[in-house]
Amino acid sequence: MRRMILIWAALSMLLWAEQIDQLLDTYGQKNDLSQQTIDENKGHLVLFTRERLEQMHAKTLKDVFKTTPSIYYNENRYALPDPLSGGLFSPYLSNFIRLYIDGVEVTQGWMGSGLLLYGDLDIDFVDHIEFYYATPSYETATEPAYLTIFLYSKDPERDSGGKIDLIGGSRGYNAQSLSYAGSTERFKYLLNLSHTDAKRQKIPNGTDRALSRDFERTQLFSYIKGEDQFAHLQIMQKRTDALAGLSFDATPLVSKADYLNLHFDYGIAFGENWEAQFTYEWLHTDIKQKDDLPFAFGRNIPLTQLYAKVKNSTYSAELTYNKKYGAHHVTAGVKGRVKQLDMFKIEGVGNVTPDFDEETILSAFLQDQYLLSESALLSFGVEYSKLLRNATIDNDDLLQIRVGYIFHRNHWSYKTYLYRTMFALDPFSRYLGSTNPSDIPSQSTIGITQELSYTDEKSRARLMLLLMKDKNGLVQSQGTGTGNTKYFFSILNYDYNFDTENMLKTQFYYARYKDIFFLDKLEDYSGYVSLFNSYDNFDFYNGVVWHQNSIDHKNFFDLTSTISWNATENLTLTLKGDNLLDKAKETRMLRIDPTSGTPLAPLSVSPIDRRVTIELEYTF
Amino acid sequence: MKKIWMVILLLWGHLYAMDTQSTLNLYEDILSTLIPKEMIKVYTPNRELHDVFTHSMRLIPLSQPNEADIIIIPNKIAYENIAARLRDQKDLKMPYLFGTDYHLLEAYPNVIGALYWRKGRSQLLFVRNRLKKLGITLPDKYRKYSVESL
Repeated sequence: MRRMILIWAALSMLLWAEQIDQLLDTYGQKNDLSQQTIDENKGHLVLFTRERLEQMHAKTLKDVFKTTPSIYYNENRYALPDPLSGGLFSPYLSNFIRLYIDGVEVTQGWMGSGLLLYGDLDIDFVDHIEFYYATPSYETATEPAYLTIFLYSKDPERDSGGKIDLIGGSRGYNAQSLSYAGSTERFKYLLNLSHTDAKRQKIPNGTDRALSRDFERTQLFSYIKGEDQFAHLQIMQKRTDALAGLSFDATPLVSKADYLNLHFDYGIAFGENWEAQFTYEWLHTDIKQKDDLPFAFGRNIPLTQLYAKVKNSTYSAELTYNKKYGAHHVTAGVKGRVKQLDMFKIEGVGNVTPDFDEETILSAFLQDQYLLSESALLSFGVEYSKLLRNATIDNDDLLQIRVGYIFHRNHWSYKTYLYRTMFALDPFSRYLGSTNPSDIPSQSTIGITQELSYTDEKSRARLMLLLMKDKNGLVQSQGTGTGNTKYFFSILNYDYNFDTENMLKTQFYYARYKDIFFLDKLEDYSGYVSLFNSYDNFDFYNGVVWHQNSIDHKNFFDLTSTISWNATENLTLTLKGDNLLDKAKETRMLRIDPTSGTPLAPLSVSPIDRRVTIELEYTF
Repeated sequence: MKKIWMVILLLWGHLYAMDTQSTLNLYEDILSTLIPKEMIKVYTPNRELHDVFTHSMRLIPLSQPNEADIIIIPNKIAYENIAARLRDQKDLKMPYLFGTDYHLLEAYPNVIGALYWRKGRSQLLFVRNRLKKLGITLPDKYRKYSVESL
């Protein structure tokens, strides 16, 4: 009898413990900050929750971006984040990837997408990250995009007080971050200051001056948020060694670029239906480029040295209205953006006044989300944009349409979008490019995407299928392709939570392109497997990203491993290895002998450094 | 569940609201463990949490701290405000203090426990020697969420 009572007592304790574990776990999942920002109608979501970012020990956006399917982190020949660059000579190709912080777009003005500087930013201030594939709902995008990345900052109600983060690693790599967050009854505030001195792997180029891409970055992120108003101030200074830079054959004598960027925004809600947002951005670029042979730009002007300073400003404003009418939720708005070149000064020449120095973008959108039933939603959106440029650069008119359907029942959900979207080549690329700037038609893309997912308490499976067709593809138009590329993407995810302390995530990606660049057919494969385990005060993360394509079927593996010791509630020590096998994906950087026009052997460059770091985090 | 999902889907922009059901389930379990009463009077200056408590059949959210059985404190400023108000009413029984920030446990020895966030995960922690001073014995199911002292 006594034994029976003991067994019963033991079982009861176990059940109680499970019950409170379950309550706490459910509370944690349902109240995760991402649950408050996810908008299912924005597109196909790849989410990195705060818990996930902590498990991965992601310190920069690059740590996350290198694991995403379809479009993954890459750098261009200037060592700037540019996932679509592919080693080409173009100034910047990732303008169709747009970056938002707390719902406000960050741009680099005349240079285009904010990804240019913020693509590998320190994310110590970030709570969670959302990647949305396919054309986003128009309430977010002032300029067209097919991948939008949303970073959401930490909330002082969950991360109050201070935090110091110190990192030291291979080749003298070091980074420091200091944060302080707090709240009063009326407002919340956050201040994060970070500094990174990134000593990176050099790229041999056959000379005694291997290509360098070291950089030193100082970054300030701050906000103040009230009940219906917010303001952000961000400043970034980045001094970079610019890899091959403007050198045609990737053997520059000098290749450096320094950037100083300021972003300020203010948003206010008027009642329940109106919101307004204003943004000012300023970018100062200091370029130092020198080569013994003519540069890969300049509209046939044989330059071998360019020491120049460029300043530009961007002003953005938007007004949106939303209201529910029965089963309809209507959103409409107008947006405007002005990009101005403030100064262009070349050493030895003085101030230069190019004929093109301003672009104005005006757009208006209307979107309706109609609730068909408790489980089904139909959405329709249309946006018209007018892009006005001065001087000889052509104007563009872009019309975009999107129809979506979302269904959710019990564990299953289904999502599909049909869209037609248009993109215009940015004027900066036109101005610097060799093609006649008034002879580049807008790209139009027609796409259909579908997503089916199943979620239960332990696991989640998802299949995403995307089918797209380009007409007048912008990247192709400058190269040798026809610009009429057809794409098929498929992404399969399967996640399994053994319990709250042991989790598996898997992802497989397959893409098939027809008529891309100079290829009739290209197949691209990638995979990602990660395992997170927690034991006592120790956390372990191991993740492998695999890449292969049909050009050479070469396999690339990027292994990341971390061990964290949570010494106290306030102190964590972490040992982390990035690209431990030194086999992360490489891109061929094209080279040409500028004297003869003969192609040279391309260089293989991986944007992911092999690096081991030790980190100390202290909260107070 | 379906309705909740679709309502969330339809709401405009950013939705800064707690999940009512999971928050209530957890708080009701915690607070009824600390206070063995059929109806528990609770005060919190956190407006979102206060609104969640209005949906409870067991918790009575108050608009003033003085009559509360327990006070849920979100931050140090709130603690100082509440402490000043309670000091003026010395004849009343002091309510229990429970935090939603770990720093409160560190800073104030009269805060008996906290439900807070650490690196994106929800955490629950009681301090046993503080509970003992108030005559509260923690049931076994909460033992793994407690430490003897801080």
